[in-house]
Amino acid sequence: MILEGLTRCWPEKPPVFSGLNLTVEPGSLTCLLGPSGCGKSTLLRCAASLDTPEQGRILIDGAEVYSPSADRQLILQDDNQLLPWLNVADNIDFPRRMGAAGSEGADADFLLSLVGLPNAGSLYPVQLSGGMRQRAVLARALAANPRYLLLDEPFAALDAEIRSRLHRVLAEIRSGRDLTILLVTHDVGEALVLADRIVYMNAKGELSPPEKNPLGPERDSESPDFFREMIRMRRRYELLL
Amino acid sequence: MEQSEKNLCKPRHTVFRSRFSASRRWLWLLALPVLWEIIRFIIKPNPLLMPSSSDIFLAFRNDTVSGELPIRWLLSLAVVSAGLLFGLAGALALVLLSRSNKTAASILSVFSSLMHPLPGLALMPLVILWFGTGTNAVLFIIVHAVLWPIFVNLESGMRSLVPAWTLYARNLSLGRWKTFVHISLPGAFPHLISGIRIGWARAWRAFIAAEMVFGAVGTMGGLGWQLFESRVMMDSPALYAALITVMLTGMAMEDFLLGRWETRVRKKWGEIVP
Repeated sequence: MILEGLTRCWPEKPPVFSGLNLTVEPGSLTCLLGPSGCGKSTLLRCAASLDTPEQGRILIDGAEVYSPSADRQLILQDDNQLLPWLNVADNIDFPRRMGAAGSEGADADFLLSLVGLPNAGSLYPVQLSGGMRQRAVLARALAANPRYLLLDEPFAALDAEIRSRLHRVLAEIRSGRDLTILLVTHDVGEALVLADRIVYMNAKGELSPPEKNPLGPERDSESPDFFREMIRMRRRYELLL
Repeated sequence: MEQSEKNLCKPRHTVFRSRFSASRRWLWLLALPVLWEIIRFIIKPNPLLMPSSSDIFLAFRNDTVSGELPIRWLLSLAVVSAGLLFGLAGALALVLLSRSNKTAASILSVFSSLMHPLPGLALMPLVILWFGTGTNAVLFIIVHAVLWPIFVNLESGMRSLVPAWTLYARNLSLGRWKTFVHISLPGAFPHLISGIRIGWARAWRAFIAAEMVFGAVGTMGGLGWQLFESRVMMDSPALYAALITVMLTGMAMEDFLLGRWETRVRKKWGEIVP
């Protein structure tokens, strides 16, 4: 996915970002780190074609895309994303019932097991905790068999233990799938744990060139290296604020 | 040591629910005949104006045993339900129109603002010209009473949908029709039930009033016609018995059907903490 020369403005305000370029490598997990209000979520919506930039284009496999597609699934931080009138299994089956492209072979039971909710299919969203809901949303997004997952701070409202469990779930989901993930966060630790590549966005909506995660593929979140890198990144991040 | 049940913490909403449960509200009704008799004892009214509670009870029992009151009651419910269904179908059609076209939405918004506050009986002279008197006229008044509150509530529900649901529908590239049927309509369901509740109460009142003005529905007439007949015959106990039936039906619908339904749906939708 290539985001090329994107500019997004709100009326009578300076541009959220202007002439922004970003290339998301296929199969990678790219973390977009930046302070609140810098335009990360707007960028993610543009990448999902759920928001239309004033200038620039989005290229997938070299072709420009204009309209949203189930192939690029957006997950928000919102606690209320599941449809409350359907139970969890029906929520996950929703893309298939709606005839979304790629969802034909979706198996709700398998997806629920994958996200660690094997017995929650018959429950309704109101009966789930925040962490369970986010896992169910993840399963629902996977039911559309997307090539791209666009995650807008999906774990921000959860406590540390559930967040680290969901990080493991996300890592498991990635293994064995051709899935490209663009994750927006302002949690430096989360970026270090999950990302292959990290991109900083400053308060003016400018992007730094993508950097490889200094920790490499084998990451131990309790190692001294992890903490050293986290401190270094946090200092850099604070300079952006 | 095992904690006794008495010492266990009871959530506040459970306490609230048990104190003000529907069944307890109904127990208070038993006190009304006593209050009625106290008032009669103090003001000593003409029995035609304020009959004794035992006379009202006897009239209620006689009309029930003869089958007159239950048949009129069932007929009233049937006509109001039919009007409610027509009104609901009309409101759904108007909402669909309003959602699919901005000009239609603007026109309907003005039209609903004009029609919603208009009492059905104010249309009486026109309705008599259009439909004459009888069942059709009464049905028209009921549909008018139901249509606008359901439309206004449903419109408001669709405008206040959770943004994440509509965003999800767009993410799946659902068309307008699928979004309306599978996202907007179920998403606005709690508002639809609120509209039905308001619509039902308005329809019930409109039916009783319309029947007293337009005449009996069917061959026998409903509760409105019984009120009218009892007044003409100066049969005060039967008049009060019919009035009590009208009031208790309204309260029962609220407490045991529509009110409960709305609470259950709002809990499921996460609008009320279960």
